[in-house]
Amino acid sequence: MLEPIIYEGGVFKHNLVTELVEDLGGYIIQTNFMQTEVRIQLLCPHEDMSMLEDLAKELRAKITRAPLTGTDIIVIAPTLAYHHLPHHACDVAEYMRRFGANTTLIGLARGVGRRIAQISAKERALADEHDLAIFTFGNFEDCLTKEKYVLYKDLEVPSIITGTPELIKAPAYAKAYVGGLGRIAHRLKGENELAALDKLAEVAGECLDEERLDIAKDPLTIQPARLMSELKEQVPAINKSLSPAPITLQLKGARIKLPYREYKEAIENMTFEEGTTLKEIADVLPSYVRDYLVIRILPKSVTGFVM
Amino acid sequence: MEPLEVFRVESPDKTGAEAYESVSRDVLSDLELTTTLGRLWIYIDPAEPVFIFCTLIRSGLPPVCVRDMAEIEVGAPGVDEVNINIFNEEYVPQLLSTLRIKYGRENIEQPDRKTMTIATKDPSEVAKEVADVIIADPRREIESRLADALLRITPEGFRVRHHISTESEMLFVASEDPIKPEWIKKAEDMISELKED
Repeated sequence: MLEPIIYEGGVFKHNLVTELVEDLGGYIIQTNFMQTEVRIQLLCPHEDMSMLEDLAKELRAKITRAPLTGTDIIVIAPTLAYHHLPHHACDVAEYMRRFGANTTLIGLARGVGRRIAQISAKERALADEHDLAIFTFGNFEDCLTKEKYVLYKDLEVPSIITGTPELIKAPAYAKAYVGGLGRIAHRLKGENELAALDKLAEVAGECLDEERLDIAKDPLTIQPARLMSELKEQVPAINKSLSPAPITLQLKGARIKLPYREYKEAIENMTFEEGTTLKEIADVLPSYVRDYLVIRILPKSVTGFVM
Repeated sequence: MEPLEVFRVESPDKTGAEAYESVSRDVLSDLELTTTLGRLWIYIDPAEPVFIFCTLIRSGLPPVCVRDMAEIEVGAPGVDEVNINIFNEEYVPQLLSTLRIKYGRENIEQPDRKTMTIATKDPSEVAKEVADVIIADPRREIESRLADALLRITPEGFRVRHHISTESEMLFVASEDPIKPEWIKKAEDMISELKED
């Protein structure tokens, strides 16, 4: 089993970490340089963690388990109107990134209000392309429990709801609820606000772990992380992408930030050392995010084997 | 009336009211309205749904006239112009644009930083008239900031709005359904209670 880890340390000798992880059979997901510091998101085999820990100690670096690594979360606010800035949804999205998730933040076109709140088919399809949806709602219990469920009830991905009141149980159709994160008109910096964000990260981690368990019952033909490293080798155009995360890992596949029309064929015909091509083990679909493409890996029950 | 001597946010949902109080405080301080408002009472009932905002505005600065920032004199005999000698430069851009609109761009000149001239055939009449021309009105600026604050505080979905605003008070009712007369009545009662306090 691969352990999701964030490595934070100096740039000096950080290549040793990269090499060690690759030698152990792990994967580097993303590397960010911040002047003399480096932050690496990686997946390391569980049984070899002690080697990585020793190296980090030697390099005076910090390693932390990041349960959201390799996941794609969408944060949905009923509105992102400029006169309500700063939106607490922005802080929520940013905080999830600190735990390793890739986040998308959207404001619904007509998500505001009670009776009038609605979500369009396109917005719903966009949300379903992610692993988890976090809905950041407002202050009133009545709205949260009786009206706003229309926005997430038809989603296929699990939804976590946030709002001001502390509810005993999650509203109908929601996977979980986190209180203390309602409409706040300043940047989240208070002790309670940060505690609520931590709680949200924990709840999101639990939800995603449940999803992982579900997937493990019928495992994917190829691990998304392996797919990512093969893509980097076989589709060189990815390395020229200016996006900070040209490949966004998801629990059941990946989103590739390359134009669908141009690269669909090249990606479908990628060949693995086992002799299979990607189109035999996955669906390559157009993404709802710009003109990108999405890969959905097929499970063992469909292909009959695991690589 | 002291700044924000009454600040009430009420709702059947107590937690929601507390959160809304925080939102209102943030917005009012962002827009520097805390010293402008004297008494404020917000009522929100999400079940109705209605949002009522009543406030008493503190008397502020009077409008700025030309006489408050400049000395006005008729030009020398035989020269058809009025001279404006500026002693407070704070509102010069507004003065220049107001005079241009009123007397025509071609008739206004600014030979130096602190002098403006108006070319006219009737200098004595214009000198008398220009003294009372209003250049800037700090109150109007406050009104626009208050309208901005209302848009920020009101729940975004409540787009059916009713408001009555005078120099000293503002009453605002918003909902996502047509405004009911009893909500307006409640808002009027609230504002009269605010005045009594």
